[in-house]
Amino acid sequence: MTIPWLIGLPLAMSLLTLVLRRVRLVTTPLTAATFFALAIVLATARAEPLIVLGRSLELAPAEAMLMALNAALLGWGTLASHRIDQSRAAYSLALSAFAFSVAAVVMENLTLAILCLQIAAVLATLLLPIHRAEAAWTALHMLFIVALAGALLLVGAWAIQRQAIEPGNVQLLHLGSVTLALGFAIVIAAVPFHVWSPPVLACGSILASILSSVSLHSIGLLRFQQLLNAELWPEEGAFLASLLLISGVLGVAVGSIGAWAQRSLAHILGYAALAEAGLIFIALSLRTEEAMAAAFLHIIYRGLTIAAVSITSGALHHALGGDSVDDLVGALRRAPLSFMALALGGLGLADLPPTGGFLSRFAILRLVAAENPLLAIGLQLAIIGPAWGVIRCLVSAFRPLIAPVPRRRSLAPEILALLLALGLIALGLYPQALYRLPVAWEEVVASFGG
Amino acid sequence: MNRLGEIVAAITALSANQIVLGLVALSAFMLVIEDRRIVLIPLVAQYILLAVLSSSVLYRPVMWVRWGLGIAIGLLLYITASHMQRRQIASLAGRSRPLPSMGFLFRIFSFALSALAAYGLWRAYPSSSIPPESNLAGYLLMIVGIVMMISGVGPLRAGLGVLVFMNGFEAWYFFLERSLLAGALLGALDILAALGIVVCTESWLQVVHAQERDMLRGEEVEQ
Repeated sequence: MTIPWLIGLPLAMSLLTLVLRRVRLVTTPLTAATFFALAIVLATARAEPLIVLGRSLELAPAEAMLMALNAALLGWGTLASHRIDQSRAAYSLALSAFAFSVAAVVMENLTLAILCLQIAAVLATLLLPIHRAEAAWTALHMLFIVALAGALLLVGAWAIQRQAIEPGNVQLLHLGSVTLALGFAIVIAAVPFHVWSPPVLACGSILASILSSVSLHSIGLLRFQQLLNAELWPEEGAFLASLLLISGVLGVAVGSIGAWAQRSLAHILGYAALAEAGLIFIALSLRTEEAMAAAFLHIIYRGLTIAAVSITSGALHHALGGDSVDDLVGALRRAPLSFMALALGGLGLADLPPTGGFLSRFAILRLVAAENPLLAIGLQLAIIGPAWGVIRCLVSAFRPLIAPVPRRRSLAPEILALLLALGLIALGLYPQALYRLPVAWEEVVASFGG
Repeated sequence: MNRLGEIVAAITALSANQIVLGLVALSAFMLVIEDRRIVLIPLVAQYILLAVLSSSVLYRPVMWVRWGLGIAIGLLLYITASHMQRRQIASLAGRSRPLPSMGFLFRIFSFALSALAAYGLWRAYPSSSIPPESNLAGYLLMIVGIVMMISGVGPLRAGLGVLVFMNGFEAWYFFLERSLLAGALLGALDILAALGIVVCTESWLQVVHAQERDMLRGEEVEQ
C-alpha cells in the first residue's frame, strides 16, 4: 500500500493547505512535515509493485532514493521559504507537483508517466511568478517549453508502443527515437535545448527551483536512463553515447562561461547547474558500471547544491533585498550567516573540496581521463567559471557598506541555508554516510545503471 | 432551449472539411485581431470544433466534456483579459517586451506564412494514423500557436499561443491515444495551462501597475 500513499498523501495535504492558505503558521509546518514523512517512507520502506486499473505501478530503489532526496529538499525549502515572499498557494502547488512527480516515476506506462510529468512541470511553473515582470515571462516561456517537450515525448511514446505491435515498421522506431531524444533533451536541459533552465533558477523562487531543476530534472534523467537501459536503440547506442558526450561537454562549457559572466548569485546558480548537468551526461555517455555510480552520486550532490544555493539566494533577497554583486556589498556584516552559506555553497557550485560534489566530479574525471586526458583537463578547468562568479560575490560581501541600511528580518532562512551547505560539506568529509542508508547503496546504484 | 439544441445539432453535423475551414478562419481571426477579450471567442470555438473533429474516436460524453473545458478556459481567461483592459496599461506594456506590436498587415502576412508552412508540412508528412483533416488542423494550429507565442505583445496573448499550440497537438493526439485516463490527464493539463497563463498575466499586471505608479509618483515629485 506504499505507492498509493506516496501519491495520495501529498494530494490530500495539497487540498488542506489550499484551504488553510491564509494561515501560513499552520501550512508551513504541515507541508514540511508531509515532505519529511514522505522522504522517510521513500528512503526506508520497500514499495511493493501494484496493478491499478490494469496499469502497473513500480518503484525501483534508485527511483525511491531520488524521490526521497527531492521530498527532503522540498521540506527544507518549505521551512526556508516561510518568511520569504511567495504566492499563498505555493505550498499547495508544491505538494501536488510532488504527487504528480511520484506518479510519473511509478507509472510503467510511458504515456501516462509523461502526462503526469507534464502536469508536475506546469504546477512548478505556477510557483515562478513572484513580483517581477521577467519572472512572469519566464513562467510563460516555461509553459511553452513544457507543452513542446510534452508533445515530442507523447508522440515518441506512442511510436515506441506502436512499434511493439508492428515490429517491422522501422519508420515508427525512427520517429519514436528522434522525438523521445529531443523531448528528453529539453527536459534534462541538454545543450542546446537548455534555454529554459538558467532563467528558471534566476527567478529566485526556492520551491520552483527545487522542483524544476532538481526534482523534475532527476526524473527526466531517470526515465532517459531507463530508455537507454531498455536498449531501445540497439544499433544507435554508440551514436547516442557520442551525442550525450557532445551535449555534456557543451553543457560544461556553456555553464562555465555563463557563470563567469553573471553578476548575481541566482544567475550564477542557473549556469553552474547547467555545467553540473553536463558532467552527468558525460558520465552517462561512458556506459560503464563505475560511471553510472558516479553519475548517480553527482545527481544527488547537484540536487543538494542547487537547493542550498537557491535557499541562500532567497535568504539574501530576504535580508538584503537582492543577491546581485551590488546588493551584496557589506553582506559579511549585514547577513553573516548567509555569507557563510554563500561561501560553503559556492564551494559546492564549483565542486571544490571538501564538498561532496568534489568526490563525484573527481570520480567522473578519473574515468574520462582514462579515455581522453585532455578532455578531463578541460573539464577540470571549467570549474573556474562558477568559482569566479562566487568569488566575485564574496569579494563584494567583504566590501564595507558606507551607510548600512537596518532591516528587520527573520534569521530562519539564513540558518537553514547554512545548515544545508554544512550538510554538503559533511557528505564530502564523510561520504560513507550514504552506505548507512536503510537500503543497500549498491542495490540503489545497480537499479539506476540497469 | 430548442434554439440551443438546433445550434448544437448544426455544429455536430459539420463535416471534417467544414471544420478545418472553420479552424483556418478562427486561427486567422486570432492572429489578426488584437483585442484581448474578443480573441477568446475563437479560442473557445476552437475547442468546440476540435472536439467535433475528434468525435469519431472520442466517446460522446468526452466530446461534451471537451466543450465544457473550452468554455471554462474561455471564462477563466476572460476575467484576466478584462483586468488587462481595465487597467489601461498600454503605455507601459511594451517596456517589458523587446518586440513592439506589429501592424495589421504584418499580422495578415504572418498568418499567410503560417498557413503556407502548415500546408507544406501536411503535404510533405502525411500520417496513416491521423485523418488528413485533423493532420492539417494540427499543423496549422501548432504553427499559429508558435507565431502567437513569439510575436504576442503582453503575456495573455503569448499565453493564448501556448493554448493554441496545445490544441493543435491534441487534434492529432486523440487519434493516436484513445485511453480515457490519458484524455483526462490532457484535459487537466489544458486547465492548468490556462491557470498558469492567468497567474502569469495577473502577476505581470501587478508589477507593471506598480512600476507605473512609481513613475507617476516620481514625476509628481519632480514637478
